[in-house]
Amino acid sequence: MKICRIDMSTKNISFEEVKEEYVGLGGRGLTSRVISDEVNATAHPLGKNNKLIIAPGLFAGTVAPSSGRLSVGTKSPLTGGIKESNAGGTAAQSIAKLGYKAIIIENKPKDIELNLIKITPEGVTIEDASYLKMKGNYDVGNILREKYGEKVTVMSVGQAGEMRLTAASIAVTDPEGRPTRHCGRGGTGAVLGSKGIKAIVIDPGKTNEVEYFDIDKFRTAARGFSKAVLGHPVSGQGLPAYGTAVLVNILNEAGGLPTDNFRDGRFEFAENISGETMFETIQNRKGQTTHACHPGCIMRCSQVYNDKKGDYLTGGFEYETIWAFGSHCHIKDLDAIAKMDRMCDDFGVDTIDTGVAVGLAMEGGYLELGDVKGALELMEEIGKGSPIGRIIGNGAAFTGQAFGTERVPVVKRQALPAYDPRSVKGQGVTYATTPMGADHTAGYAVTSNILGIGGVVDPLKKEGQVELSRNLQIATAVLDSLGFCIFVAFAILDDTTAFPEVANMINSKYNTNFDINEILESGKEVLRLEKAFNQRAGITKAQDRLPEFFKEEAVAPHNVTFDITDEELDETLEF
Amino acid sequence: MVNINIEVRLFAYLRELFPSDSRGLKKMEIKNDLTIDRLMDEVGIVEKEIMIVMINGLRKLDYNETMKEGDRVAIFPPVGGG
Repeated sequence: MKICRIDMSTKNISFEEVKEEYVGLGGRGLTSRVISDEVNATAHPLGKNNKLIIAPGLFAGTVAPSSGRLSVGTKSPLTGGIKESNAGGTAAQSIAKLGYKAIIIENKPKDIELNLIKITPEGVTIEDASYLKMKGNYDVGNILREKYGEKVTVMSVGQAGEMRLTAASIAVTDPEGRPTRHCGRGGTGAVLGSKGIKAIVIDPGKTNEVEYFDIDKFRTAARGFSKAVLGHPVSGQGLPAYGTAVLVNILNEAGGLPTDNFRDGRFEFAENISGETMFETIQNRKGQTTHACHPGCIMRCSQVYNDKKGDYLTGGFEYETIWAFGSHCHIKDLDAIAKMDRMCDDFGVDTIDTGVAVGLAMEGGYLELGDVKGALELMEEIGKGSPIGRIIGNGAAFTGQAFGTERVPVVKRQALPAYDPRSVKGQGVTYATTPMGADHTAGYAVTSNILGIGGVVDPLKKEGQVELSRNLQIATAVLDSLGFCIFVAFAILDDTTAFPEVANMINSKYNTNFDINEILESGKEVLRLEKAFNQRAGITKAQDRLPEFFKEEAVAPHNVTFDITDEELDETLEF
Repeated sequence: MVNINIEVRLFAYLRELFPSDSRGLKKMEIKNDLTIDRLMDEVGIVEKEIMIVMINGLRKLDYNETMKEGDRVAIFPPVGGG
């Protein structure tokens, strides 16, 4: 394995052996470590001193199931703190097969440039990409596949990344070449855009440099782990059938589906935008209700959503997206929400921050609440790069500020996702305390709070929430470093055979002898590094807080506030 | 013994247990001593122990509990996402 370093000022490309202290790191563990080691925490996120690290997880390219997540790390232009955002798609496996542990992109061109990086077995090159100027991710992929071959993986930024907007994502193509998988959160696309990079084309050809210390033992452990994942009713049956959108109804029932900018916990039209409705719609239009975002994913929670004519409209259409453009904006038209998902993928913006921003344009009186046509037109403005489009494409915090509203659901300037922190309190702890800014995946307490996975913790009571969030944040840091999809956690939480198989996979691939506690310790280490970076960047405990209205305003139907104290929140990542 | 009216809401594949045009929703008149466990029997749910049951949005773990007039009873098979 090697590390490729690309200087976007001199255009110098160099290759380094992996330092000893980096050998056991991958994915988020590696991106956060390199950012900590090499980036001054006070650097401007869009300046020459920031870096963007692309790292497959430790199991990328192996036969471990659902292990194709790609981590991108940087100093976030959205939060001002450290950021790791990960995505599915085919990039992680391709980069790992080419023998790269990480790609480090640093420095920036003096003037505005548009380049493309090509990574193949022949090496790494930088080419002019000015012909892709202000093109969306769908066009970019089509043009680049025609030029470089149908099988290449494309990572790219849309118009938003070129404009360096703070909700800009980095798209990663799925096995069909569609830009439906995104490093969505935290504005990583703006950083790639600031480096003068429009796209990264990856083609391993037949090369496969993935190595194992003991492949037979690894295969045995991977088989055992697959059995646990497929044996779990959620990852084995629920996710493949309904995808994540099945959460609409359960959160609505539990009173945790934020509606009308967090004014209600239930949406009267939840059924219209539910996973059940999506499932029927996809079937009627001959789309695909189940789809793998990368080869080797055994949960296949993605889908292909066709329009009324039966033509492809979008894929990877997730619960959080449906919520952001749906109940948050009081919109009940699933087709309109699908169009907005498509636009997010094409322009390259985070669906959560952008959907919440559209709701804040409603909050600020720019649009009426529930105005579908207005929302669709507003979204189009992002692609045009108009002033109002740039406001929305900068995400929720910026949009709330632009319209002078106080009710802005963000932590560390990153928008809250689709679970009300008052009625799913464990999520509230995670939103407040993760170094990433409000992020549901960083410690997905919905498991024990709502889904009955990994035990039961009453979502309406404060007891047990801090400990739940802490343990999940530690375990997630591990999974993000291994490159596992977070949904393998359902099996790990409920099946005692699953985590030992993870240890067996690590030890048989890397010739190590780690036990489970040592592996969890590595997750703590990632969080310590991230917290320390944030502190150096000026992000203190004062920013580990939810907006005040969650403490002061009770939400229906359970009429609960967020009552976990600041002191209790501060204990979450104290280790 | 008196009869009470409740609303039963089924989700995901459990909806197959109700007529397809009902969208998983059924108003039911039941005896007031009917337990959650027996209600699930009546509805036709087999793997009761893996289901998530909520009454008026509150998770119920004790299936020996009974219901009251106007209760909204939601039953989910194991589902998840994130």
